Amino acid sequence: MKSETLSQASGQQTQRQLLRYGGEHYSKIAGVAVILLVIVFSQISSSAYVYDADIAILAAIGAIGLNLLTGYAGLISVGNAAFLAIGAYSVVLLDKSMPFPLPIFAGAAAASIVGFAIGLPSLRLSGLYLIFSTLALQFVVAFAANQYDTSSGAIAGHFVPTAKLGPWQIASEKVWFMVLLVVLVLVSLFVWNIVRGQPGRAFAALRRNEAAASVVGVNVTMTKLSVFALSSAIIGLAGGLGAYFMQDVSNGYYSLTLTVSYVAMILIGGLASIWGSIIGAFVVTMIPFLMQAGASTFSGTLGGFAQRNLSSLETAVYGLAILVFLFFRPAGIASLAKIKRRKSSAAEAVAAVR
Amino acid sequence: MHLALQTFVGQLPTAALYALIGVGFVIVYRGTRVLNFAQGTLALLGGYLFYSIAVSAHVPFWPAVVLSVVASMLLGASIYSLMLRPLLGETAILLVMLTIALNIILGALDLILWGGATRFVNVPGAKTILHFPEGVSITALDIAVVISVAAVLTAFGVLLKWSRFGSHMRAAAENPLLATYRGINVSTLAAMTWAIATAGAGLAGVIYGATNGLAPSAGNALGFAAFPAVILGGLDSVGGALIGSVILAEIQGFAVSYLGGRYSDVVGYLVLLLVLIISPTGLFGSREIARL
Repeated sequence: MKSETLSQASGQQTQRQLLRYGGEHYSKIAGVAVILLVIVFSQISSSAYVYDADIAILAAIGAIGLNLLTGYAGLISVGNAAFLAIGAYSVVLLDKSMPFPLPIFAGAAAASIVGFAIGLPSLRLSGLYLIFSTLALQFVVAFAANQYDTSSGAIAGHFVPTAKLGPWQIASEKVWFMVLLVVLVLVSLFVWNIVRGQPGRAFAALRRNEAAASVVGVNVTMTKLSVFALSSAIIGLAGGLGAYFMQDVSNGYYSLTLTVSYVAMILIGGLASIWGSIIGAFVVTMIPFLMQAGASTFSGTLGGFAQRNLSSLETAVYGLAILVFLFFRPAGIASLAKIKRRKSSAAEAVAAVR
Repeated sequence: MHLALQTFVGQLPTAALYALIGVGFVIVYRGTRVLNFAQGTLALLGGYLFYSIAVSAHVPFWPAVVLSVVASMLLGASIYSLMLRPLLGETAILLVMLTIALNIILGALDLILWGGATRFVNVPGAKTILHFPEGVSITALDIAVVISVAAVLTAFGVLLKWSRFGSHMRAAAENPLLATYRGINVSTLAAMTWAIATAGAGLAGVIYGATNGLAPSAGNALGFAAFPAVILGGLDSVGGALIGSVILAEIQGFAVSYLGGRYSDVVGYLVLLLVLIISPTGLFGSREIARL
C-alpha cells in the first residue's frame, strides 16, 4: 500500500509499471523452472510418491477454484465437497455414453449450473448468506448421492473405468501426473488471466466493500454470481478428474471434512494467490502422510496413542493450522515471498523519487 | 391422526434442543457479529463434560448438571476472550473461518478423549412411559426436557427483557459505540454473551446425551440441524429462533414419520433453501441482516 501511494504521489507511473512487470517476469520464470523441475522429478521418482503428488495436484486444482471465490472475491462457501461430488458423479453417470474428457467437462458445467442456481437466492444478499446455502447444498448433494448409491446397488462405491484418450490409456501414476500438471497449468493461467484484469479488480472491490464497489460501477450481484459459477466449475472439473484418477466414487468421501480441508489449503497457502493455493494443497495433502510417518517413529504409549487417533489428530492439525494462520499470518505461506518483494519495490520506489 | 399427534408431541424435545442451540447462536450473532459454526460441537462437548463428571467421576445427577453447565460457561467466555477478542475488527469471513477451525478442533478432541462409541447419560426415572388420550405416549424424560428448556428459556427471556444486564446486552448489540459512551463495558458483555450461549449449548448437549446418546458425529448433527431453524426465524431474532425451532422440528418429524428416517436432515436444508429464496430475512429477522 505504501509503495503505491508513494509512487502515485510522485507521478512515477511508468516506474511502478516497470517494477510490476519485472515482478511478473520473475514469477513466469519461476513458474517454468518449477514445472520443469517437477516434471523431471516425477518421471524419475518412485510411483508411490508420484501418486501422492497426483493427489496434491488434484487438490491444487480444486483449491484454485475455491481461492478464486474466497480469496479473490471474498465469498465463503462450504460447498466444495458438494461440487467435487457433482463432478465425480457426472463422470459415473456419463462415462458409458461419452468419450474420456467429455464427462469431466459435463461435470464442470453441471457444477457451474448448480452453483449459479444456489447462488441466485443467496448472492443477492450479503456474502455470508452463501455459507448457509452452500451448507444446504452439501446436505442435499450428500443425500442425493447416498440415495443414488443405495438405489444402484453400489454401496461400496462406483467403479470408473480407465480413462482412454483416443488410442492412449491414462493409467499409470506418471502419465496421470503429466495430464494433471497440464490441467493445473491451464487452470492457473486461466484464473490468473481473470484476476489480473478488469474482473479481478471488480472482485477486489467487492471483497473490500460491496457498497463502494456498486458505486464505482461493479454489478455486484452479477459479479458474485459469475465468480461463484466459475469457481464451482473449476471445483467440479477437479471432482471429475479425481473420479477418473481414483477410479472409485462413493458418497462417503465427499464430506464436510473434505470441505474443511480445502478451506485449510487456501488459508495455509494464502488467500488471493494462485501459488498459495498450490502450496496449500501440497501442504494439506501431505499432512496425513507426514503424520503417518511421525506416528510410526514414536514407540510405546505415545506412538500407540498417535496410531489409534491418527484421523482425529489429522483433523485437529488442519484446524490448528487454520487457527495459527488466521492469527499470525492471515495471508498464508505465499505472502512470505510477496512481502519481501513488496518491501524491495517500496525501497526502489523511494529511491526513484529521490 | 394418531401418527400425526404422536409425531407432533414426539418432536417437542427436538424443538427444545434446537431452541437452546439456536437462541445461543442468535445472541452470539447479535452481540458479537460472529456466526458461530462451533455451536453444535460446543453443545456436544457440554454433554461429554457432563458424562465425565457424572458417570466417570460419580458425581450425583443435579450437581453434575450444574458443574458441566458452569464449565461450558467458562469455556464460552474463554473462547471469546482468547480467540475472538484479539481479532476484533477483522472481516466477518475471517471470524467465520475461525469458528469453523474451532469446530473441527473440538470435534477431533471429542473423538480423541471420549472415543467413537455412543455414550448414554442415564437420568433416574427417564424410561417411564406416560400414556395420554388418542394413544399418544411420551417418556417422562421428554416431558422433563420440554418443561425444563421452556423454564430456562423463559428465565433467559425475562433476564434479557427486564434486567439491567439484559438492557445493556441489547444496547451493546444495537450500537456498541453508543453503549460504550453510556459506560457499558461492551467487551465484558460480549464475553458474558458467549458464556450464556455456550452454557445453553452445553445444557442441550446434556439433554442430547440423555435422549439420543453422545457420539462424535452428533456435534455437527446438532449444530447444523439447528441452522435452518435460526434462518427460518430470522438470524437476529431470539423469538424467531424459538418459533423457527418448533416449526423445523415438526417439519422434520413429519417428514420422518411419513417419508422415512433418512429425510430428516435434507428436509431441514430444503426448508433453509426455500427461506433464502422466498424471504431471506426469515419470519422475524430485521431488514439489515440481509446486508450483514
